[in-house]
Amino acid sequence: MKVAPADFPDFAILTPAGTLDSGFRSVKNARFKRPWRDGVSMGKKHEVRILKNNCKGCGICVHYCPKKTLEMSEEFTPKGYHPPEKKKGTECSGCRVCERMCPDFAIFIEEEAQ
Amino acid sequence: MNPSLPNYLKKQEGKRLFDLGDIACAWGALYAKCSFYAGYPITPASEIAEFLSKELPRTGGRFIQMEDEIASMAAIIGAAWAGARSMTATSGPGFSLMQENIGYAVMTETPCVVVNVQRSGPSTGQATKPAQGDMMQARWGTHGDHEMVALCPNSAQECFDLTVRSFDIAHALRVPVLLMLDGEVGHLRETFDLKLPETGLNLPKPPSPSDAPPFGGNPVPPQVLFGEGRYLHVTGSTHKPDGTRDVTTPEVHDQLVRRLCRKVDQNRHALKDVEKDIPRNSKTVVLCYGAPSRPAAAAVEEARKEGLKAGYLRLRTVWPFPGDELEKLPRSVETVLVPEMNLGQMSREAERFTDRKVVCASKVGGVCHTMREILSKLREVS
Amino acid sequence: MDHPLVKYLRPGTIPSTFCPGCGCGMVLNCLLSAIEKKKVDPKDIVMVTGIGCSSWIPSPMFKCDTLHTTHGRAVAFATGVKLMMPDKKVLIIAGDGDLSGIGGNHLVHAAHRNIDLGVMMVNNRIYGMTGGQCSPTTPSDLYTTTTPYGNLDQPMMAAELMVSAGANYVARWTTYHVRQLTKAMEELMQGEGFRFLEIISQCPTHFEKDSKRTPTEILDFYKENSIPVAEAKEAYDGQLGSRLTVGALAERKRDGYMRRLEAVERKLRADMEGEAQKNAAGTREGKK
Repeated sequence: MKVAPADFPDFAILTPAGTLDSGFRSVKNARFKRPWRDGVSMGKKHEVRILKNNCKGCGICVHYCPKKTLEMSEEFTPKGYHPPEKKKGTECSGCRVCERMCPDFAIFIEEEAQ
Repeated sequence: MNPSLPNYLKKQEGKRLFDLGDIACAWGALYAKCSFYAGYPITPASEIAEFLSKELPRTGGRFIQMEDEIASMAAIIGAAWAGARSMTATSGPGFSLMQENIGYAVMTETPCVVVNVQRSGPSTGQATKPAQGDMMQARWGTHGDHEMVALCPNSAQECFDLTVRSFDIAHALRVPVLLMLDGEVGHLRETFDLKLPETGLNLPKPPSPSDAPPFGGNPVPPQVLFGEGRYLHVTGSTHKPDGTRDVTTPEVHDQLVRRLCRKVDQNRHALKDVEKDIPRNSKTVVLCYGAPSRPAAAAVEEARKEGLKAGYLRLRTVWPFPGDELEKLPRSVETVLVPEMNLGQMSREAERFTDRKVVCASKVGGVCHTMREILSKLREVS
Repeated sequence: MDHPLVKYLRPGTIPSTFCPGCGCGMVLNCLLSAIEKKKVDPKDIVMVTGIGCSSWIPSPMFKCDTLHTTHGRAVAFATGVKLMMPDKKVLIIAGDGDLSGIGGNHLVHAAHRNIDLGVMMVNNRIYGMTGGQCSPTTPSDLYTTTTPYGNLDQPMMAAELMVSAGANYVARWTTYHVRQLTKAMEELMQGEGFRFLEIISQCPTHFEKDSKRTPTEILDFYKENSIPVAEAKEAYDGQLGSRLTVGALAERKRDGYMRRLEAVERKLRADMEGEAQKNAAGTREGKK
């Protein structure tokens, strides 16, 4: 569908319906079904590293971890926030959602070569 | 972008032209190696923009007409941090709009030149008629504690010379420099020579590049630019010498603002430029600047023929105000007459520095003083 | 091993001054991820920001040449920088009040001029830094400190405004969509012409004064209520739908300002060359 007012041909918006959402057809479930897009390596061990001094206890990482490996801890950071901690008996899949969503550079994934 | 004068400008050096004061100012910019102009049309300054829109690209510089004066001032500051020697020109209403960003240039120590071809105000005023009503605004228009450098030409040749000088001052002290023309000087047509002024001011040399902090430490810190790998942080907030913001420590603000003021204040003698003719036994001194200074000079000559003991003091550097010239007036001087095209702005400043009587010969209405008017006023006060 | 993005940060600036759960930190994370992914050298970037919480996103955290300017004028400052540094990526991050409120004029003209800048408008739909006053993009009927009886205005659709003004690339994402946002930022950094990215972001402190949602509740709201462009067009009969339509709203191939300027300059230089040669030939002729 081309919208091209006669006097301004180069203002035409080149958006044929459905082709311009950066390659993601449907936003809601795209992310977690294509881990290979972001170069996440399968079959490696992943460790969650939490930088407690940066954390402000917002809870985003805990909420969005698809494997539910994180929970808010009882301890306090130097600024008085509750940082997250890795639940015992859970496995980090290395999807890096926490690393990508954290507003404070307080959590990241370290890949350990097997 | 253009480190040296292009050949075709070099070849024209020394040429005599007959044109508007505005155009002389624009030629001055070219010879001062101006490389960026952003502006907005306004009478009586549009001619500067029109001329530079044609000539600046020929020297390798860049010109852009922005959507308003606020954007113009912003663009010239941005360009200065990218390494340009930048300038803009406007008149009263645009000058009022530019004040916030002029303050930003003061705070970030950005070298740039702002030309104000003054016209009748307040507000739209007489629009196309000359006045000198922005002199105090030049000094105090932007908020906060600051010093300002403002120059005032009275002829087309001086428009050329003082534009070149404005660039020199801006880059030597890292300040925005205001060039206060008035509509009269901007729109008169006169001969002027494309000759770089020989007798410049005895300014400090521009700070040489070094690793020293770019916003403190030295009285005039070294000019660091974007793209030099220094990861510069330029901000209008109070900042430490390295540029990072610190708005909570009182000493940081105190030191910064005092240093910014000292930068200009300690160079007030180097920046001073007056034309003086005050015989020892003068009784009246005519203190003038800009367009009225020319009929004033003629009036003083006539008055002396009549036997009146008149002196003449013309300011070319208006801010910082050369108060010491008034402090050291001869004992015989009883009155200081200030012909201005406003209701008394520089006369108020003069009152601060002298205990003699200061009389302001105001003329508003868009017509410059005539020789006879100043002469009759001189007779009156003598 | 350190956080992979810490190399882009100025030492001592993290932890940041953003509130817990603020979208600004997430935007910074996406920006640095985009730079890391595309292997852009921070030396090639000039960040220009205004005033407001969002303007503090790269300043001072991101270690690159930064121009932190006056309220609303970032786009105008950036125009000056870009004109004199055409090879650098000149990027602007500022808020909705800064860019579409006080700076609306400059934004529209920059899009119209198609100046080669990348603008990221972090839209938290409120004036956060000053304590929660309404902004041009505040939803109708919302309580804010200056609309205590409810906001009388409709929210301004800044991205749609940019589409009309002629920007080359216009997209909108929310802070929930971190990966798409990162991809959009990668596109923003390398296109030609004016590129605009609206980022719907959460302000858990001031926007939530009435509803008191937590950051994760707000992000879930974005997840549930955002519609991709293609689906919106179907659902709303060709219109772009609500303010949570996400995706690229426009992509055009208009010539950027720099391309047009450089073409004019090339022609001018060629004409000057020709003139100079003609004059030289004339002088030679005369000398004969």
